[in-house]
Amino acid sequence: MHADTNAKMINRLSAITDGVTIVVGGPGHPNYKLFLENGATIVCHGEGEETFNDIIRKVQCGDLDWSSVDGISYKVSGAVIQNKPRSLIENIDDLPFPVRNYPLPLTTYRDYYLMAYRTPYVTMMTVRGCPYSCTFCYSSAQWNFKVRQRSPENVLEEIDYLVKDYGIKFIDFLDDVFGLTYSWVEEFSRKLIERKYDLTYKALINPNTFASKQAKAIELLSKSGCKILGIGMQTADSGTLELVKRTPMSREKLIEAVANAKRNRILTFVSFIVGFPKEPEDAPEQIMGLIDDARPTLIDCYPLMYIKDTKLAKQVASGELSEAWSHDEAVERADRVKRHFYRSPRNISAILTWVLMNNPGWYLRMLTQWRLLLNIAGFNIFRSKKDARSRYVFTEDTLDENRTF
Amino acid sequence: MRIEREIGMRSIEKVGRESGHIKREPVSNLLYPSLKSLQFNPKPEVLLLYFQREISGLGDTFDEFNPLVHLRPQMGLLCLSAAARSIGVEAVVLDQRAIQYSLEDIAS
Repeated sequence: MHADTNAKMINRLSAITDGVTIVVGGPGHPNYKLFLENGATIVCHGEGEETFNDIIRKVQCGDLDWSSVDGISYKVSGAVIQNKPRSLIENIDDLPFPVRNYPLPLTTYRDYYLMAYRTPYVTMMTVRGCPYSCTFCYSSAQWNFKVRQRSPENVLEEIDYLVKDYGIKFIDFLDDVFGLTYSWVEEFSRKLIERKYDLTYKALINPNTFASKQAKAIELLSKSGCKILGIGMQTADSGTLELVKRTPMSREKLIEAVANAKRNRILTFVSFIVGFPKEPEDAPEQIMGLIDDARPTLIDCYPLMYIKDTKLAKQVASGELSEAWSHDEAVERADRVKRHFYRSPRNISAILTWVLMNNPGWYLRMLTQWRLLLNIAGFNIFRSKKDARSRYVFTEDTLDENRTF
Repeated sequence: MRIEREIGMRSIEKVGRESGHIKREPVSNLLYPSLKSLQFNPKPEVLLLYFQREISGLGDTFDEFNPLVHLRPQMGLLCLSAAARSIGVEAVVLDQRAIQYSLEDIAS
């Protein structure tokens, strides 16, 4: 994330604070040397809870010898030291529930991009990690290629507390793949249905998730309150799917998943990416064809971004693969797909009808945001070409400064 | 330096207008309180800072970003706050997208 800008902020903060331990963490941690050179005391790598608490305990004791704290980088006499990585927390049920409603009320947060959004809402994670290893995605590497899942009881305990204490009405589950298995979804859904809460939620799945039991799983999700199902397809080209290790995946799987969701009156949101190496000229048209066949409620299409430390970025950096499309070309291809979808009266009508039937209050807010909606839909009426390019500039020290983060 | 000019909520709005593609609706102090107006009890020992996207560079990325439409809580910091509480340490998340403060406010 704009490592140089963050480094300047750390520099400024360290200059105006005295004797304060500055700990930096998050997805920008690979830039740890830059942060440490600009005044950060410690950069935290990987999962933060245990590492952060170790740091707090040491600061409280006045012990500033960091050598025994796993998962951090720091400086000693000008030299950068990186300790051994911290092991992942084995049982994430043991973690305390995130602090909500303090110091700001829950209603401070909102997400009208979700057409089923109701207030008050929270985001929640039930899984850390992703069972897939798509080469363009950082998720698996971020979690050391391990997947840990909370038990249905633990997730429901948190939901009980959120509903009873804060009156939560909508949950945005941020997991890469919600539920992972049919048995988890079955137990979670049945117990949530029994509670009879006025609660709806959004979940993300993969077209292959739940395999042969997908239809039954989606029915259970719907009955337990799922209103939006995000499905990551990424591309319709079989060669590209294979290249980025996104297999087994097929057009038919997506069409089936969308149909299963629509049967249960769930809004479907399918995401695509264009601009992969070796991607054929007609990849956007293949995506448009798939969209026309599957007919999801919403789609989005993004230009590929090479994320630092992903296998795909390394393959391009080493010359094993070469970029097939410039960033501007990828943006144009992505916008073409979005325009194809959002110029269709049939698709617009389906969206408006779904919202009217399921969440009419959403209109009151979003109709004032018509410029924003047009930009999301790829029309770019209020965005110059230069702006479109600058949107994807993240950091300088990656393989292509204009396309990576 | 650009970054020094950008620190502080009022100047963030100015940057938004300068860049020409971040639409900002007028914000009220009720919606976005200042750090000084917030009461912390107990007094926090740890501050977990999350900076405005316009400052941290993400404003250019999310040009459709409008906090009145989309303001997602930062799960990672909420989890760290809970972890700190579990060992008896008060750690508060200062989300600069929703609380007005500058680095100088933090320092003081």
